[in-house]
Amino acid sequence: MNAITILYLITCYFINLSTGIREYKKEDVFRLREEVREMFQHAYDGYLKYAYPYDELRPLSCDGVDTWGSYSLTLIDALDTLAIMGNYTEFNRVVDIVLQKQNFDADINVSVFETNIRIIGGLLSAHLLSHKTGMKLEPGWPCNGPLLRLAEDVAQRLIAAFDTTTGMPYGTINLRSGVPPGETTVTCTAGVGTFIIEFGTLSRLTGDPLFEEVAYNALKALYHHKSPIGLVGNHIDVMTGRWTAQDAGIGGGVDSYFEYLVKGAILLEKPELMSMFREARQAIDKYLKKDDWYVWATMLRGHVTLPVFQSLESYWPGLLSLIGDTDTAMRIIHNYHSVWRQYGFTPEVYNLGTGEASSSRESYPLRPELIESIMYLYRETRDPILLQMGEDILRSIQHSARTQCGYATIKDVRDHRKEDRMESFFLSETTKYLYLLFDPDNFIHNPGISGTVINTPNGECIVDVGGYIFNTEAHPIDPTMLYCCHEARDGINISEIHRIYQILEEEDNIQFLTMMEGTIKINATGDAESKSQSIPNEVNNTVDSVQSSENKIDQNQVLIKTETRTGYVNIDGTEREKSKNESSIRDIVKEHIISYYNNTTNINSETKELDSPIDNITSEDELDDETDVEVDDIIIPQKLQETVSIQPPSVTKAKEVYKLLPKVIQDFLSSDWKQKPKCEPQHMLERIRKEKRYPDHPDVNEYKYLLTPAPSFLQRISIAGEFLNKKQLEM
Amino acid sequence: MFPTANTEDIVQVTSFKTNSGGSSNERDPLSSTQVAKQQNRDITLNMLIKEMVFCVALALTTYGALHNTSTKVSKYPQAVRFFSTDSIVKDWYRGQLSNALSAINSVDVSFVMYYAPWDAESQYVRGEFEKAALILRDYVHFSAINCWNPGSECRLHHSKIPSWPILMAYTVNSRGVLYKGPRDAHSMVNFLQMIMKPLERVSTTEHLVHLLSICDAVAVGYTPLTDTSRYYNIWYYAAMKAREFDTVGEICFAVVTSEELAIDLGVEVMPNARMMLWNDTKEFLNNGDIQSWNESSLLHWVLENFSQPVARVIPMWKKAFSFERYVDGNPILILFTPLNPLYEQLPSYDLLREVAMEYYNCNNNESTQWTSELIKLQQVQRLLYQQKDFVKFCQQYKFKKSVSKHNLYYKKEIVSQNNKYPWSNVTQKSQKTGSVNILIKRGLPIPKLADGSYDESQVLSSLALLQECISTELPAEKSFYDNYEQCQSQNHDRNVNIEENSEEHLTNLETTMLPFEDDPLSPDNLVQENVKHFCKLMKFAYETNPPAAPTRIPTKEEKQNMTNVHGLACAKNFSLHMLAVDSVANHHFAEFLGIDISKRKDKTIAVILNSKHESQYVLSEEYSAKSIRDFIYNFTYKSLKRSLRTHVEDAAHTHYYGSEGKTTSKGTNNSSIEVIDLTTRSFKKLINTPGTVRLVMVCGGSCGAARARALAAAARRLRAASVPARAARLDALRHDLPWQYSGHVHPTVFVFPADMDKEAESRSYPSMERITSSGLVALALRSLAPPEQLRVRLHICQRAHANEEKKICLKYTREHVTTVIDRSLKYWRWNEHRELKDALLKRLQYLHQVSLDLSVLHTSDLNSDNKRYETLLSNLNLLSKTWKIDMSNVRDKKTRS
Repeated sequence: MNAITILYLITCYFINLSTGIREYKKEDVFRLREEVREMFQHAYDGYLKYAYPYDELRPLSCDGVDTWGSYSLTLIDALDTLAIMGNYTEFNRVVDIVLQKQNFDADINVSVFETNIRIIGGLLSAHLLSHKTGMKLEPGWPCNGPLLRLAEDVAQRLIAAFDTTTGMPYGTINLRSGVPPGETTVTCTAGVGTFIIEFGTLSRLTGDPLFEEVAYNALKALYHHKSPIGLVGNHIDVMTGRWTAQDAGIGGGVDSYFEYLVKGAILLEKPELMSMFREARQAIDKYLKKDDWYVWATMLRGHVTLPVFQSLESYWPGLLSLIGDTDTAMRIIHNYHSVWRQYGFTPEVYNLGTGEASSSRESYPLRPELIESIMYLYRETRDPILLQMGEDILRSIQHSARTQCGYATIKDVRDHRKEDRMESFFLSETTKYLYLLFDPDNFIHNPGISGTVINTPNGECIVDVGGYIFNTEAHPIDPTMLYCCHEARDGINISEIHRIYQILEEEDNIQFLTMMEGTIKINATGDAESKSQSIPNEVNNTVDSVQSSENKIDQNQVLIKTETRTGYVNIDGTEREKSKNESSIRDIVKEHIISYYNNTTNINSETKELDSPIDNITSEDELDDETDVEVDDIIIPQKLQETVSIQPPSVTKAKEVYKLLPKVIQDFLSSDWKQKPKCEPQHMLERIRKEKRYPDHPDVNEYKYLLTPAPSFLQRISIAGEFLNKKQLEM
Repeated sequence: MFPTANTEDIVQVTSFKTNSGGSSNERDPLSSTQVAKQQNRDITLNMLIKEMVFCVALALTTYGALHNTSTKVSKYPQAVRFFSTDSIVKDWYRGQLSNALSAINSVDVSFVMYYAPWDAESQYVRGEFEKAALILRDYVHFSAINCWNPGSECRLHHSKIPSWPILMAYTVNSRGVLYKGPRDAHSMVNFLQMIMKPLERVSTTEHLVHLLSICDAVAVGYTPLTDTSRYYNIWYYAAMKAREFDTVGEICFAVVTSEELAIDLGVEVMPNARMMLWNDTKEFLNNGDIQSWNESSLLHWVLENFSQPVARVIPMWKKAFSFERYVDGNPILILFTPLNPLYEQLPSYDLLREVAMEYYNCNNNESTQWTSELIKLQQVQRLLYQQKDFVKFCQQYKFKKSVSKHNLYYKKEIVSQNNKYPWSNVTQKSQKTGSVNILIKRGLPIPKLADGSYDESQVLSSLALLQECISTELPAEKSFYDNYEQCQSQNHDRNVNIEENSEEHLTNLETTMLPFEDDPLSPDNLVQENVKHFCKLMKFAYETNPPAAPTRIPTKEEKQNMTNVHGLACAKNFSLHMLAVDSVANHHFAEFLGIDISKRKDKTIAVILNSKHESQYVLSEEYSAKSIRDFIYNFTYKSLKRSLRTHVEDAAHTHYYGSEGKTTSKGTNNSSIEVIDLTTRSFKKLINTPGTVRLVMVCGGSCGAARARALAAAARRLRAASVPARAARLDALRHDLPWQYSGHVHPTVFVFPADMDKEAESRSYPSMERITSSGLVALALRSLAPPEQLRVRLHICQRAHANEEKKICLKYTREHVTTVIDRSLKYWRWNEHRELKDALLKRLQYLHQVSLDLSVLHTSDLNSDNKRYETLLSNLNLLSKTWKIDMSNVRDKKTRS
């Protein structure tokens, strides 16, 4: 008996006394966090020791290699992870190293997409985080700074890619000379729609509207090329706007387009982007969603082509959690995680029909998407099962991917063989999200309960209140900084106060009057008892009359509003100001230009004039206008559909034939682009503005799209993998 | 599984297939272009790029080829030991399946874990598996097989395991039973205990009654012994297989092998099976079709017919729909209580079961009688069980063993041990123990009652017995429940006496036997072994959680006022679903409902969720027979107060931002700002303390940067204008709010004015508008009285940067004064009250003065040392004085008159 008790003690000592499921007390979580920190440190040290200044570390052969453009990619990419993990000294040291570079002038061809998300994103987030690390800040920060200038330099080099007929960018660019001769005009959807966060940030920090407008224009272009059923394909020709790969899905080739619609909407407070995402999601849920999995289908008809799950698709649940649909997100992530449980990693492609990893795409390059979603969802739901999922991921990577000098890509998830590559996103994303999952007190997770006041050229400004937006390479951007440099005039906009006050007043008026009359009547009752009999009737009458007047006003509300407004306009002669604030289709960008670039007023007034008829229409009859716009929206793609639907058999064949032609002839055929003069960004911007190729989205001011729905009541017992039916939740 | 396009479509889209197959990787098309870029001098590669876009699959191989030349690939990981070398568990870490299986086949019972070494869950279960092995090492062989190791034998046989680990129990001639239950040591041990003894052999009616009194349902097989014992075997395997689905043993499987007893129990056709449920008894074979007596149909029948008054929900921590069938619009009662499967009975759970049976027992037919009999039976059994103290027993037992093996008392215990638990006096010499046992004996025809041969006199006589036992103390009380309580405590003493009396009898028996000190398989030693094992199990269970029992003896008054929930399920047009969830392993569920379960007595609490009214009710008192009945009763008659969920502050396993010491105090720094983080409670407190303008933002989760900034900036701005203002936020995902504040979208912003203490005066931000600091300032302005508002407006004008802005600002301010004058005039006109009219007139006079001052004010005058500005401010002061006095005076007079 004694022996047994001793054994008990031993087991209790060695094995954590815990019950049924893996549990995570505070200490356990912190232990895991430190393990992740060690993991990052191991890989980071390995990179510095063996690979710097190459782009990436080769973890098996312990040396470096240039992969994306020989600009010490991993170093820049991992920069803000250092700040998030609290290693400020190293952060500052690396920033100094990075700043030794004056610009990114080099005769290399780089991917526009990758350079944007990794380099520009990395530099911007490092710039914005540098106030936390005790770095010496330049005066004018955050609207000014060496890292910001460096990021702007890179962006300037990429901007030439957007000089196309559709406004969608080329996939590749030479950092010195612009679009390389003979460059293909075909870009994947993500390569078109993944700029708004970095470019928007750049524009709002520097005050140069070029970047944001160009990126926004590309998003609008994609939106207007969507198929009649609302799906987008995989690759598009940026010159003709024709889809060259028509498979619609949410994974590779498309993924960050959707991601940036949501995140861009939140970061830049642009409800129309959210509205675009909602439309896209409706189509996706209708055609692609099967059993909480997402498959691939044709973009024109929505017929399923490939029943597969891609490891890249795992970002989707995280995205849904950003718009408040956590229940759906949790269902999906359980599916995705089951694949992880089967192999220990998610293969690039997992065949849903057979329930096996695709035999040609069976690798796992240490991708972050699954852990990213887990992190978002944990922050939102705090469901402990997500910590288990996080630990599952940590354990597999530690067990099978760790090498002597870093962490290696898994060549085949079925037998965990390693490949000699460590992508930079392992340090910038995978470890960062893992760390954030296990570090609930990180400043990144601030739910809006503390902040810092900084002084900017625009006056005082509150920053660091949480709500960081991660770009698709996990570089966090603080939206408040954008506000500081872009809008803040000491935090208060007088006409905005007036506008909201007016709205509240209108809302209040009727109610207030009713109340006042009611109290007066009641007082009267108290005064004169003799009249008491007749008074109730009176009260009723007045209430009735007030109600009827209320109705009347309700009916004519729009009319009254416009009347009062025009009244103000006439008296004070501040027509421009007023209409700008109150027009229901307000173009934020334009306002921005007006306020910041008085020297370009010519263009503004021009566009203003163009705008004003539309304004009138909307204010007079909003419904009609909406339908108008809708018709407009549909018409373009419908035309497209006609042409495209005829295309596949003939045109694709023609394309193939074209491809078979000798290289020389191909070059000759596409030589008209080769002789194009070098791109002048300002001219391009003006062209985009003048052409106005894509109409404004009708939901520009519908801020309700930025609100998230409250979860249903019974969702509170939907934790730990327990679910209820959609129908039951709605009950 | 997945709807695919018609063949036509597939033919149509084959050209795309290759495309998407390759393009499925977002980064790869780019990466492939990227590769080319590196070697852009090589002109042939340019061509490659173009090709790639159209058939990316091809491109990928090229890409692969480009890289593979230089890329090393490691070998797959080497298999290493998973369990330590000195572990009890046999570790086949190279996946030697056939070796493992031959080892497994050589023992009676074995438990096998198929694992993958990289799997976090496997790594966790490893510890639990070893713990279970320590307990059951003498009875069960524990093996672990690495079934992932590439190329190993096990991997080749089982290539498609969807998740790790797989746990299987094997007995000598079974194909193996998959273990699907919770993967903790307790549940595993309990499961293996059931595998070792799948059937309870019933030899007396008393035994059957005993089973009925402790189980949710009893499945009895009537398989008289034959030459082949085929029917018995089938029943045996069915019982074993059932553990795959009933992992904690909610269904008790029993077998009657005596034909006489079977006939006694009313079974005519044999073999047959009976399922004795709380409200019904089902027969397997009604028409004597022996052909259907096979494992699968028996299993199906058992699982199909199984029902319990209180359903146990065991979340498996994977995608599941355990709660789904209880969500049909009816309210749900969830009891959170420790449900350790190693204890034979769980009094807290049993109590709810009794209450549930009472609650549902409203159909007036024969099953009603059966149920009420069963309630009594289970009640007695529960109370008896609650009295037992196995810790004491185990200690005493050991003590006695060491003293003398011939101790008389000890031998008596041995006899009782035959029935697994020494104190279950139900079956032990029942004719000699107290009246309770006699009752049970009298109650034996209970099974027959269900068959229709219900004899009223028998129940009456048992009633009489109870009266008898109780009469000495509380003759007035009639309630069954109370009687049992008393009877039980009384009998306890009596039992002891009787047992002592019986000692002599036992000793006499013993003396006729041979001494068997040296024989390990002697009955004596076997019994000892059994007790030892039992004590080991109990100790094991006790370490995690001691048995929980509801408060035992109610006071006299409580007894008299015991609420009657009998048949309440039919009283209204809804009925409660009752569920029980383990509060030790799944305390998270309680925490998500805002209950800190660890602070409750015995970790036990009951909650009602009413989805129709979106409200939640928590049992406020300690869980007891009375409180739970009151709870249900009050809920049914809608006299419960809704409880608002609020986050459990320091729950051990849920953590969140600020969990570590609440916002590290950098408060000394001037540049840091704070927004109050509210809970349900502090929200109420905040809105009930006037004096400041309170801006409250109700967010779902975190507030988001733009909103949080706007909130903080607005409050800061108002404070700068010397308006006492506070900003606060609340996480609506974790904190419930009173109805009027819970919206359908987040965030919503409320403002609570400083001078009005009625919360009804709050205003919310227009939901269609962008939330900006300016907007929030406007919202706050609305809540201020006009004089104050004017002062803030002037302050804002003063702080405006551009002259143009100041101009506009002043213009708006003037407009505002005009509106106020306009409104005041209106009041004045409408009003018939003399004094109020006077007051309004006074107010108007000052307003006009202010208006005049404002109209002469120029933007350049907006300095604090400016004359005109100062006059304006002093006039404003006057105005604000009259403003306030005005209202209160009039009101006072009104009330006086």
